[in-house]
Amino acid sequence: MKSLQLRLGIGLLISLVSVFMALWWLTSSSIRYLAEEYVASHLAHDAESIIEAAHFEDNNTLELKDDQIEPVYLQPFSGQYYQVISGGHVLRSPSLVDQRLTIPALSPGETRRLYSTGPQQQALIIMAYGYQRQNRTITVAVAEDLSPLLTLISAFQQRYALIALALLLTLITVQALILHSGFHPLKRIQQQIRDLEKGDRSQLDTEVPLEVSTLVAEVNWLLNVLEQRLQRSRNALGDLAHALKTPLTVLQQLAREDALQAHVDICRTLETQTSNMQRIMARVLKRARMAGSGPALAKFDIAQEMPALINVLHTMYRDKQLTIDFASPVTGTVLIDREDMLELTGNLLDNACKWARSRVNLSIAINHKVCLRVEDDGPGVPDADIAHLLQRGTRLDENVSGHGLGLSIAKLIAEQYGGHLKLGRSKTLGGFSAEAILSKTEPL
Amino acid sequence: MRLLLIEDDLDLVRILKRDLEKAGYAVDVAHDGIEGEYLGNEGIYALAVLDLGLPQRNGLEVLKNWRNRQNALPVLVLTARDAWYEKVDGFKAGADDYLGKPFHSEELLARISALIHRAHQQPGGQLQVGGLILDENHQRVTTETGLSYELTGLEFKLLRYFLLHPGQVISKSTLAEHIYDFDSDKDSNVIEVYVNHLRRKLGKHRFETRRGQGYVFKEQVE
Repeated sequence: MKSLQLRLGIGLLISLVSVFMALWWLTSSSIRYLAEEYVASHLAHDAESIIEAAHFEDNNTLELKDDQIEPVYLQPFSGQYYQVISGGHVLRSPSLVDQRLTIPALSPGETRRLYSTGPQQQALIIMAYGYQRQNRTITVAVAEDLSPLLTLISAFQQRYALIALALLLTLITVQALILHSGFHPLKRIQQQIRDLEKGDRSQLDTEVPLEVSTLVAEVNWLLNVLEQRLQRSRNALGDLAHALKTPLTVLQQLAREDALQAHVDICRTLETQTSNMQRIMARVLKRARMAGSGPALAKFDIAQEMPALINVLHTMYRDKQLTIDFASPVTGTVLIDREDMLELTGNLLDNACKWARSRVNLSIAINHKVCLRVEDDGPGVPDADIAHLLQRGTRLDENVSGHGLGLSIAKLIAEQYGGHLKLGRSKTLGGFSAEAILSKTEPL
Repeated sequence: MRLLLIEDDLDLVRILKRDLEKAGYAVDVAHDGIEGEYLGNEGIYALAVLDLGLPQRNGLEVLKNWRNRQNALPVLVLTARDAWYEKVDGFKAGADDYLGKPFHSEELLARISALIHRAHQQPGGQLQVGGLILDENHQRVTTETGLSYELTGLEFKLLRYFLLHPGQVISKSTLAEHIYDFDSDKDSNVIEVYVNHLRRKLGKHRFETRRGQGYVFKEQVE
């Protein structure tokens, strides 16, 4: 999965660099063009004064009036040169010394700009003009060394590149900052979704940028729907249980009607079938009631809920005078649905209280996993029979009802939370020991 | 002993009322939460059997309202909603015992009897007071000399009430309240006759008459 921020950043970087490079190129070439134009216009003036100074002597030789020529054309290799051509006559500036320029003969009115390497490897720009004088065609070429100008231009280009680079870096930094702060709300949503998974919150904040507000609203709506649906299906099952159990009680009592006592077969069938129905219902309903782990989980407050549950068991088993010890190293919360946790602990405790002689131990340990152990000082179960215990509906002792069912429900709940149920013999009390290990729960 | 049964299923009410009466209880029935709550506040019942899924007012709410009014009536909650969290919530609301549907009448009777004993500071099992042992299942009494007597329905009801209230002055009208339900004709002369039956079987000295006040069951015979 690509980061949106990274993608935007790369796009912006590429466009910034392109813009700066284009600017650099445009500026550099404009500067060079302007400089050349300036040189060219200056050379055109010089050409004008040279053609003014040129004249043919009577013997048909081409002459220049030296006083009209600028002194720079007289110094050897000064960087400014001229060359006048007419037919076989060639006049060269003294600055050329013994060098010559390669100039084509131009017809009158023609202008040409040439670049060539002149004396001493000078980069020359040559302006050549064709003229008509005294019925003769004259070509005047004026050249100037561009090297000092080119050095200046390249120095400018370097400076310009450095400044542009610095500006580019500043802009990139600014953009990275803008992107970072622009994506900050998204990071917050990310964090909130993580909190959602942990059960720290049940909804996302709605104060988000317009672009994601629909998404956030949708997520919130879905969370609501999920919560409502869970609640509704639990309620529906509870209602179903209520609706079915009362008629079932009536049916069960029917078997004991005096009028039916003469028909033993009917009574027995009625009793068997109603107790079958009861067992199936209990199993299905309890399983369906479990919420399991998921996003919208409520927290379970150990210190508040467990004593209440123990109190219930004390009341239910008041006649047995049981001591139920409760040890929990943390007074914190675990991420387990309250109904599931009470169902799990209730079933294990109920089982222990049923078999215990006088003591039951409940202990909860939390380190990454939640480990809930219930032990009793009852007869326990032989190792060979422990495997059978968890097969749903199997009861080793039919007289004490619900033994197998309670444990198998505890096992189902433990598995829902990515854990398991460990049965065995209690090391401290000598009786039965059941240990539920739940791993999909983080202590907070 | 007079019980209040709050349950909306008519068939179940018929069966339970019959079984409870057979076990020697006077039973009044309420079919909805509001009537049930009102009757429970009358202060004449030894115990209430309360269904949680009631029309008009939820059973849990009825229970909470009683407890908020400091009504300590022993309450046995009878419900199809028997998940552990519901039990915890039920006990938190002030239930004394919890019985999940479906159930057998025997279990209900055993729980009721245990709850009534508890409410009168008597240990569980058979009722033993002043040398008398009352077998509530078979409505039979055994004296300290080992003699057993079968009791008629009214004798049993009276004796159980006396045994649960030893040393207390009990008026004839109180006795009548706990023997007859709303629908029966109350006749306090009948009580006199049956107290005399008990005196004949168990000894005159145990049932003292307080003129104008009622009877006292003597735990210790001087």
